[in-house]
Amino acid sequence: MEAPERIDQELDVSGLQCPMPLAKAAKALNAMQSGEILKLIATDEGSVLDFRSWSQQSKTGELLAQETMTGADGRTRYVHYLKRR
Amino acid sequence: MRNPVEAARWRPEGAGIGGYANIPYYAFIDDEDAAVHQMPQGRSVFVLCAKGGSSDYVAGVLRERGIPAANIEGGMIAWAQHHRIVRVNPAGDMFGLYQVVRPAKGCLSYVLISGREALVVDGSRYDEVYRNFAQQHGAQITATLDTHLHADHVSGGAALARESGGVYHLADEDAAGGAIGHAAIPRRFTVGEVPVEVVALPVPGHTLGSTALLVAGRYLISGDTLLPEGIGRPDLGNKAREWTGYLYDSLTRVLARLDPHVTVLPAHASSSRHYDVRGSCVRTLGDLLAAQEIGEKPAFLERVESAVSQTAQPPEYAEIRGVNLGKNVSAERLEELEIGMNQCALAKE
Repeated sequence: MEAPERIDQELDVSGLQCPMPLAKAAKALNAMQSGEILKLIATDEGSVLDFRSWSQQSKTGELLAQETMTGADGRTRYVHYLKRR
Repeated sequence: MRNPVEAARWRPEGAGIGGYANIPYYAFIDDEDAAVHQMPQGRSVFVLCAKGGSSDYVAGVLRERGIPAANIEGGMIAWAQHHRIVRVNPAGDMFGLYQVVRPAKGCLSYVLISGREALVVDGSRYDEVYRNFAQQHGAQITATLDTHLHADHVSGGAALARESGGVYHLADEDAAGGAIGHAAIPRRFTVGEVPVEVVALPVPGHTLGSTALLVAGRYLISGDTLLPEGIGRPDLGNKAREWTGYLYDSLTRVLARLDPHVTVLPAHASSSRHYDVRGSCVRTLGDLLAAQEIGEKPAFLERVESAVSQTAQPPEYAEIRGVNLGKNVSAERLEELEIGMNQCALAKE
């Protein structure tokens, strides 16, 4: 699925390892309104599969789309678009 | 604490594990009460994830809730790297023959030490394990050898030889098309000042260059030709019919002519059931051959062909062979390629 056009909040957790990307995302989503969208940027490759599985069972959020891009430091960034349920 | 996809692919096993359940770590982040409710009551737990970070977090949550929980530091990555070393021959011998077990992959490698010389056979890519062990015994690794071109794990043979100033041996047939700087396997050689004789026996079948080593006339380092579970699959070269014929001849004309009391030291175990109480995996040649019920050639070919058709080759194996012939890949990719138990044996049943 494509990245959503409207982003309500953006959070960069580059450099943080599992479980922090997901924990930070859950905390941010919990403070958001239902339907709002969080863009989360991570360097942890494991986050890709984790957000997919999490989305299938989470009451907090839903994964809308994922992208990879190269950051200014040359490291790969895994971008997750998450909607507050 | 892992996501279900990864947990299904690879899990720890062993005699001491009394139970196992996978609850992804994010369940504890999303709804802590519900996740804690899924935990067994009144039991202490070890918590495991891929790298050790999430399990550390969850173990902390559980302890706060009064559940005795310990984190397994380093997670599955550390498990993949774990090696244990067990002596095979009696302590009174003039030389030492050691089995190096890497339980996560079921890979078995060997170190033969005589005086100040050490030979490493089928060593893993974690070369410091072998270097440190040789050093502790006051020995220098003078040679490394692979019994065949491995497809299930990344070999440390070439790198270990390079770093130790030794020679890396691999059969020419298996080294074909690569650029790893190998030397052929001599038919007969010795290790150490009190020379331990090693006789190399060509046993094509699992690969064309497969070689078994008869050490001091008593120990057979059998590579993948003869394994606790069965024989080494002859289909990895995509010429199953032809190679199965070679394998038959290797089993019946080479191995079956050795003393049946010879101790077999295989390149793989594939289950925790294959280890003895000391944590090693050794067999007797006569027993292993008898269990195979090799029989006549046409029936053997048919049986193996049928088993091969039901056992798909793991997709990573072609790439791993490439790496073992000198192809460069990233450290992350190496870790991915090596995930999970080996699938080298063609089980008898």
